[in-house]
Amino acid sequence: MDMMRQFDRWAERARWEAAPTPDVSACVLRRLQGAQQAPAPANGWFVGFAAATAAAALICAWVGYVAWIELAEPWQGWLHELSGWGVL
Amino acid sequence: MISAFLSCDAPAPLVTPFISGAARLYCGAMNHATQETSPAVEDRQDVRLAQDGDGVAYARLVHRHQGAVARQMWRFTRDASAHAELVEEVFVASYLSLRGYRGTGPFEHWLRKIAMRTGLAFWRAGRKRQEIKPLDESFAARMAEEPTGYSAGEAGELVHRALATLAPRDRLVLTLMHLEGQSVAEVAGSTGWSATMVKVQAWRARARLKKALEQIAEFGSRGAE
Repeated sequence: MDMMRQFDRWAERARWEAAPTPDVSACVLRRLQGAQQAPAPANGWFVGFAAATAAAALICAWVGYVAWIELAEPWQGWLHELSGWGVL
Repeated sequence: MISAFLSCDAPAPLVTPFISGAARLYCGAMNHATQETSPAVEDRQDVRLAQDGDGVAYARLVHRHQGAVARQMWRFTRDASAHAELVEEVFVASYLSLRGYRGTGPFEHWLRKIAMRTGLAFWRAGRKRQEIKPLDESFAARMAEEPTGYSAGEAGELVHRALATLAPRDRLVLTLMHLEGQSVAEVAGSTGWSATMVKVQAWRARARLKKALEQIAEFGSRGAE
């Protein structure tokens, strides 16, 4: 039996099928109103990410400054003399 | 001659001012008459209003087109709740991209394209979730029968099951051609593929479907023995 011929015959019959017609107008409008009222997720995410990055940068700057002071303290006199010679 | 004067396409210099005015009035009246009756014109007006944020106008569009979209989406799923969600999804997606609609073609055609893309995405997601039921012996036995003894709904169910074994693109091209009755040019227009690509895709899809159907028929005949 030619299965594709059979398929074509079934498909021809299925073409006249009546589909259910749900009334979606109210649901669509509700969803669209909800989407308009909700805050934009992209903006919220961006603000959070930018704030976290700025805080991390500040902490890194502070830790770096303190570390530099701690490191440079024993060499302070040497550095001062070096700058006095006009090398720095 | 008069009809030439009254024709809306008559060149302006040939028409005397009086008749030109009358022709304009006539054309205006005809346009007004078609405005009141033509759904395409109503669509255009409602789209323009909806683009400016008029929700009531968009509700009118949804109400006018939900039957056609529901018929189209029934080809993508047989589950009633998923079907209602798909129809809803189409109208939400169309509203979100409504600003991109230039009005060069009928709104219905534009909406059909969105519905087709939504349905294709639904099939792709379903395939990832492995929601495809394998064909069995009862399917093979039913397929071998005469379709005339069955309702269109039963035939639709059987064809849907057969097409569900295919990859989404194969399934789409066969659905459009066999269930929607679209020509190659129409499928090319709605999918954005070239006519040659539609033909090749349809040929390959039919070959794959034939292989799947023959396998299941062979399996069924072995089971009967």
